[in-house]
Amino acid sequence: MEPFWTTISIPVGETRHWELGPLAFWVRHTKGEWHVASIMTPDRSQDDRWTLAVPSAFPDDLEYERFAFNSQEGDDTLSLKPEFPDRSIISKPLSRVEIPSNSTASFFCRVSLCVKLVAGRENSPRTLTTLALANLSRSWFGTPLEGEACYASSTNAARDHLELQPFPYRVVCPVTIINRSSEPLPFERICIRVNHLKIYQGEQYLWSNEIRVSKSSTFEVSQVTYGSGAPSTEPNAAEIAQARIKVSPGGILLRTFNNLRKTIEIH
Amino acid sequence: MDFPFFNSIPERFQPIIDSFSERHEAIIVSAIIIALGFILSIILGRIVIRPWRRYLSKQAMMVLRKGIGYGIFVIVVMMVLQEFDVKLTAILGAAGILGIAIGFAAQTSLSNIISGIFLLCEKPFQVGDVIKVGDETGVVESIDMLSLTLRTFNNLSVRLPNETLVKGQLTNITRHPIRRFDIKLGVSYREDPERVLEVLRSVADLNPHVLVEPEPLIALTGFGESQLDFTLGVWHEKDDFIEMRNSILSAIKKRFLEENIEIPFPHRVVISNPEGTENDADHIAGT
Repeated sequence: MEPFWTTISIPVGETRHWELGPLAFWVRHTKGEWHVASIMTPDRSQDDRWTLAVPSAFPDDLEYERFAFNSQEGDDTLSLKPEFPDRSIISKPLSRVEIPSNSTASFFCRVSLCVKLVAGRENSPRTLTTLALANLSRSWFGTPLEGEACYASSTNAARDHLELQPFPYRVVCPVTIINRSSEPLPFERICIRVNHLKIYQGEQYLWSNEIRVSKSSTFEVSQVTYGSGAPSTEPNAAEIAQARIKVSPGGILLRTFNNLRKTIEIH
Repeated sequence: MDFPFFNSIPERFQPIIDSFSERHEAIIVSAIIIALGFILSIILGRIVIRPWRRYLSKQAMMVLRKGIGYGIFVIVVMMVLQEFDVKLTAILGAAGILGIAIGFAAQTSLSNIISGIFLLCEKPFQVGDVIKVGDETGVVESIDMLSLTLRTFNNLSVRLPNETLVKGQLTNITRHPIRRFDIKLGVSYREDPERVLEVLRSVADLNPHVLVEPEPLIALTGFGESQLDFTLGVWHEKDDFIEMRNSILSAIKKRFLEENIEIPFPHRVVISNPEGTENDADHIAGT
């Protein structure tokens, strides 16, 4: 895999261009200013393209964001850092799955990342902007009366991570569901709270730490714990981004499964 | 020159000066009471409300703050009157009789006050909600003793009596976090309903403001006079309404044009009767 999440130097007066899946963006460095222009294509066939930091002309016909700050001489570095989207992600298996009582099942969910553009050296970083690397579809986890605004994952949760094509800007989240209750657990959709996840760089895949969801009663909430290190599928993967919100090792109680159709009258 | 008016000024003000010197103690104490009451109402308003901030709505906090203010005002007035040796029992007695008289005279105001209390208990909306009352739609700015102030989207401040809100129909637009926007569409009888449903689904799927879940409602709802009736109901987050409505209506028009799906004008079949038969109805029935 090419170095993707990296730091480069853009001298004053120059522009670099990236194409990462459906997102194309340009960064121009002028004296004391950084300009960022981006465009997202809805074409799904562009998902596996990537062009990294190519010298280019700045597209003046696009609207662009402008960032101005006094910086030191020669401070012309730009870092691309991976970041999870700002909302939780709803992932669904290909079709409804039932997990029998006192059983455990593992799934692998894929989440598209965002790229955070940070200008300046490590001792004085300045976040310019964060750009989504996929067309994220908005969704809702809950009932029409209460719930959580989320994004819907465009990929179905898989039983084996090898079913998922590796992408340098998509994270595979290993999810283990433990049904400790006396009844089968229907699994139609799961809400992954990405705020609590770290990102690891593996050989081929990007990984998050493991998520363990334990359901012990018929109540809506589940006990969710997050692994502290790289997942067991690739234990030597290197951490490249920390969790936005840290969770205690004991985990938290969250509403994780949801059968929306039961609660909505559509007519 | 002699100016009797100017010469008499000191005499004219003498009773007031005498009264002040007799009552100066009461006046100073009253001023202190008023000042203390003012400071106390500010401090109490903050101290009492602070621990409840987490549990109370903006509306309840506003009412509590005003309640404290009014309570302290009444106490301050009574204390000041006492300083001037005004007998409160007589005033309260008179107030009872006066209250009945005022009650008859101010039925509307009382009705508004009572309606305000009902609104407070029932909580059909809160400060900050977007509501629709009659023809007015706007953000609730404040709920007062007699009326509610609504800020419309073109930045007008509309005062609505509380009574109107209790009596009439009120719609709280932003009560729930997500809403469904229903679009009624008419399509020519020549079109294949399955294809129209498919196009509408695709339009909803491609719109970034439309929620994937709950799934959109897409249905053929009836046979109109001149068209097949369809409904597209798309869910959206309450804050996205304007962007969603603009984008989805434009997208439907554009896609229908691309797919050659006709949105028909109302059709009327007019049968002329050139022979001028006396009974037109019989003539038409016979043809």
